[in-house]
Amino acid sequence: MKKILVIDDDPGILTAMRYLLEDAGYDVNVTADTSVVDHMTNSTADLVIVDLLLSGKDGKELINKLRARKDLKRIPVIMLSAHPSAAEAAKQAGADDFLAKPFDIEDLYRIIQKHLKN
Amino acid sequence: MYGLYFFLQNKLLQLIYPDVHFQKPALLVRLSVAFLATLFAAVLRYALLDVWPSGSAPFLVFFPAVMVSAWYGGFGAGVFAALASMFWAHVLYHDDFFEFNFGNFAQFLIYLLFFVICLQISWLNELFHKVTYFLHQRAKELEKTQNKLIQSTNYVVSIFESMTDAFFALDKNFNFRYINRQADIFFQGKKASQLIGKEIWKEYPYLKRSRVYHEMQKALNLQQKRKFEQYFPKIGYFEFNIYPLPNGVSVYFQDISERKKIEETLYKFAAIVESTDDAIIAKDLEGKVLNWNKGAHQLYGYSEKEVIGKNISIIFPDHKKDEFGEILEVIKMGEGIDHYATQRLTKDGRVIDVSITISPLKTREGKVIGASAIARDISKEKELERRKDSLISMASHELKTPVTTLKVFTQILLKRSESSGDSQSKAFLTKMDSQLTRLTVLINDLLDISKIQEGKLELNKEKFTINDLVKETIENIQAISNQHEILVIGNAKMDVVADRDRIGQVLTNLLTNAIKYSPNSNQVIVNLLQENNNVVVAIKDFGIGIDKKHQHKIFDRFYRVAGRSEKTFPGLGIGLYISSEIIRRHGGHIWVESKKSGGSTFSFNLPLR
Repeated sequence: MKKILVIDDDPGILTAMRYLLEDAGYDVNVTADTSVVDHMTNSTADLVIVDLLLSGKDGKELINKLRARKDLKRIPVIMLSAHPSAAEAAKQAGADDFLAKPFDIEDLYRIIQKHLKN
Repeated sequence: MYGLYFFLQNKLLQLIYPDVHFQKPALLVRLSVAFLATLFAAVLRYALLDVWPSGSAPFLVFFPAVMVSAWYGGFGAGVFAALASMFWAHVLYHDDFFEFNFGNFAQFLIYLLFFVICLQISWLNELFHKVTYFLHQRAKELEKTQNKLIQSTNYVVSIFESMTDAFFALDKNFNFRYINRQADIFFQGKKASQLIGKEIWKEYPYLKRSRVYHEMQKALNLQQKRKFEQYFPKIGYFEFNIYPLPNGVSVYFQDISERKKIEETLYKFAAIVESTDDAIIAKDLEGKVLNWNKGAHQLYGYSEKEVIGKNISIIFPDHKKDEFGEILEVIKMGEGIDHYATQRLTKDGRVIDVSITISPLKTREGKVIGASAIARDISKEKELERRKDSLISMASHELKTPVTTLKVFTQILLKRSESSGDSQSKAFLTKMDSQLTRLTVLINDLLDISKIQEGKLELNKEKFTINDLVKETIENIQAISNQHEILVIGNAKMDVVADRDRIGQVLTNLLTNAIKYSPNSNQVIVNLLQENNNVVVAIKDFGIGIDKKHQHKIFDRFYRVAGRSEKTFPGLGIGLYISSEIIRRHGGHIWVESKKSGGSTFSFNLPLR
């Protein structure tokens, strides 16, 4: 069972994401705590879904931390955001993919599958 | 008797010397005249010999002959006539020509006396001629000098008369000596001829009470040039220039009422320019600062003294240096720039946001000689704009976050109802999902509107095949509603370089409109064709159509056609506005052909790549 870590500051979205991904058969961990990355090992998650966040800083910092660690830098990161023109920011931050909020669950499934296959 | 003599003498003079030049007739003529005159006298004397015996006054008749000869021929001719007369007398009075006897002393004395008298006559005649000639020469010279004098006086007078300045001259007692025509106007109807010789203070007592009096006294007494302005009620403003003369003064004056008016207007304008908070600057075509108001001092920090004559480029920050040449180019073409937002550098090194309006400065003939710039500090507006931007971003984020949660839960439930076979739940949840999609579109549209208004609609251009995008969009739309069959005509692949998502947004907007406004039909036709170097996409529906009078307005922001049949269709009236802006930003064009109740065709074109 593939493990997915979801980091977002909105509890509603975290709950929704848990049910959504569990329904699709993934082992899901959700958290609003960005420091989770500091305690991560290469067995914590196979894929990370992270919100770019309003400030635009936290998401980027998080990716930087992951990329800085040898054991974690290969984990795919999908960035979500409701922020306008966030696609460009996500690309710059180094995310593997981006999805604008609100999204269609089918689109999310497709992207996750694409990156877990690689 | 004497009068007659002088009259005859004058006549004779004119006859002999019509040009009054003392030019003696030719020698031969002179001698001939002398000879003939004496011959005539001799003949006359011979004829009178019977009644006038030869003994008394033998030479008497010869005197007139000598006189005439000397008068006509001068000294030489007179002497010649005297000798000739003596010869004739000898012939007349002596039967034997060679009888002459020098021993007769009395006879010799008479001859000698005659000759001496004749010499005297000749010499006097010669002298007279010379004096006359000299006098005439002097007279002619005098006349010439006089003419010259008259001419030069006329010239000077004509200068005075033609001057635009009024001019008059006074003697040391302030009596008028000369007044030119322009000055007439000032002297209230009195002609120069009436005033010459009269005292100015008596004629115009009000001048004595004015500054003019004291200034003239000074000019005369101190022999100083004076210049001043004086206002006379009812007549106006005058400028006086008084020049001292050795025995009087000359006064130039000019009506400067018009100039004063202009000066006053200029003064008012200058006061406005000085009092405004806006920076107002004038510069020449090289960028040299000509004018710099208080507002400019406040805005840029440089004082007028510091900056006049320097180049305006000192207030251009490094990243805006290119603007300097660009602005000058526009100005040189005689054009201006309106409300142009840019940045400038202050004296203390701050970069400030300004809005600048630049206009060419032209002469009356229309030649561009420089530029004026009005600049306003828009830092506050810029800050406000930034806050508004972040507010909009935040608002859209805040709106989208709950919608996202709703959408995810709706779709989870939708999936579960599918697997459990609860068809009613599935139908309700499908409706919920599509309403959430609509809500998302509305939020995005509002966001786009504010982006367009700020001029921040960004395009991420890429090369793609328009046919594929049309196909994809149709698939997405039909996934939600399949009441209408959407037919595509034209299969030749056409590539464009454009923002794929934005063009997809336009297609979605036009297709959903086509479906929305044709509830009683079941077909929409999309026509893809190439026209010149453009791709044309035409979307034809068979719906309610648009009245001619609304057609040109439907691309305006928030415009919705109001009518009984249209009211039932929901919407904000911003979709077509956003679409037209997206197409316009791509260098394309969007238009509509429609007829009320006859369906509509919305078309747009894009440059082909």
